Amino acid sequence: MNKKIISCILLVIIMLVTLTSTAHASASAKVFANGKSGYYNNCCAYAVDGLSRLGYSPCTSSMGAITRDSMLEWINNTGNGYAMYVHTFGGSGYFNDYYGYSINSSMISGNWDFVYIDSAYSAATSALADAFHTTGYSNRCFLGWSKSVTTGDSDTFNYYFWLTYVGTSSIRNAAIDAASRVPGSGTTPIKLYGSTTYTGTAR
Amino acid sequence: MKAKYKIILISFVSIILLASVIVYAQTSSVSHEAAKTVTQEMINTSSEILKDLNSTEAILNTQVKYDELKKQNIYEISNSKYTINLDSSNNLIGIYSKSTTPVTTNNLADKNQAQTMIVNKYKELGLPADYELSYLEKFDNEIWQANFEKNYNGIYNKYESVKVFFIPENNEIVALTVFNEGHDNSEVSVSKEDAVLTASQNLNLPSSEVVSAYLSMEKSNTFYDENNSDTSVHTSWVIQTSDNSIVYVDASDNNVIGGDCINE
Repeated sequence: MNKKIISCILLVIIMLVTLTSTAHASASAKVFANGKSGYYNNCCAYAVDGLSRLGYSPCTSSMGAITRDSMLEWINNTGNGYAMYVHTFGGSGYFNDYYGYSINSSMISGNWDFVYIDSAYSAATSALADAFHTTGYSNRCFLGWSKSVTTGDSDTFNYYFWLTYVGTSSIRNAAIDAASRVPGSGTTPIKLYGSTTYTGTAR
Repeated sequence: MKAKYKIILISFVSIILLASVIVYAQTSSVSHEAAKTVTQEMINTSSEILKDLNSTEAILNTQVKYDELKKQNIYEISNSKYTINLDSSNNLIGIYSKSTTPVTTNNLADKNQAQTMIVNKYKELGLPADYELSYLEKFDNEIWQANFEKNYNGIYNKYESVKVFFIPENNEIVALTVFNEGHDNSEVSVSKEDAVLTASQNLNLPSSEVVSAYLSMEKSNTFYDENNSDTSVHTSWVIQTSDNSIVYVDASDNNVIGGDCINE
């Protein structure tokens, strides 16, 4: 009887170990959202949902008073982190933490599959896209804004982008479909660098 | 022996409970679905729209989705190229492509050619005749963006508009959304100076910090008042300050109805 119980316990342990190792093998993602308003928290939840559906596991999030160090720790990770969404303030070639400290292209390293920096002018040039090494490959891309964007328009865009279109087509098509759902001229200057056919699916 | 009976009894009760839950879930789901299904009329409408889009691929999927932002059911009909969105009255509210055709010609369209293509397509699709072309610009290397909006004495209402992305060389719609929310019909009776004063007081900033002020149609929101339940469209002064704050001031009663901020 005891032997049977011990065998069962061992079997369960082996299954758990197998599951854990499988989970570690897949690409993971992280979402950072500056907690300046409710819009940011919404977008954070949308992104976690979208990235999880793209197969990133685990997809963790950090909301509120995000720091430069915490973002750089993820950016410079040597594990399976291949995707990142950051919703914060920023400008051309940089983005800020909650306290206003900037991360610029010279601080970024690694080979990333899908990065979306959701701050004004993040894609005004290819500086950030190049720094994340998302350009020049068939299965990588970078998404950002080429001009200024309001948090309200960004919130609407992200609702449709992450919850409706991501995973149904290429990131480029998903972004254009979502952009069309935000009313107004010039309200959604979304810009993609890298592959126009990549679907964002986790490796 | 007693323990054995107990286990059998617990298992039996658990199975009965589980079965009840499953039956209840299925019944409630069926009654819920019955109220919202894609009708044959909607499929016929979508087929006509797909024909206008030169997309003859067979319809593969239909579904009803609830749009939390619009607070309405969206009726989706898809083929391999497009998803057509209709409202419950069978009106077109969106066309969204799943892929685009690469541009192969070297003769890229200029602005006049892009305009001709999109105005013709707009008419073919039977979109609102009282909206006028208010914006036409190149979006990226291949795609153009156009907006058709309702004009109220020189103020465009983006909530009564059609926003469309397209490739003129391919005569191809990439994405199109129809917005149809009217405004409060109020007259502009608040001056720019008064609106600037109201906005700067709301932000506790001097008026000199205001960098721009223009008339627009904006939706009331909770940006400055969490208890505001109004979500209607107002003719408003949009006041932007040097710290990237935006305040919407109602152009008829000089009240702050909402705002936003630039993500910079």
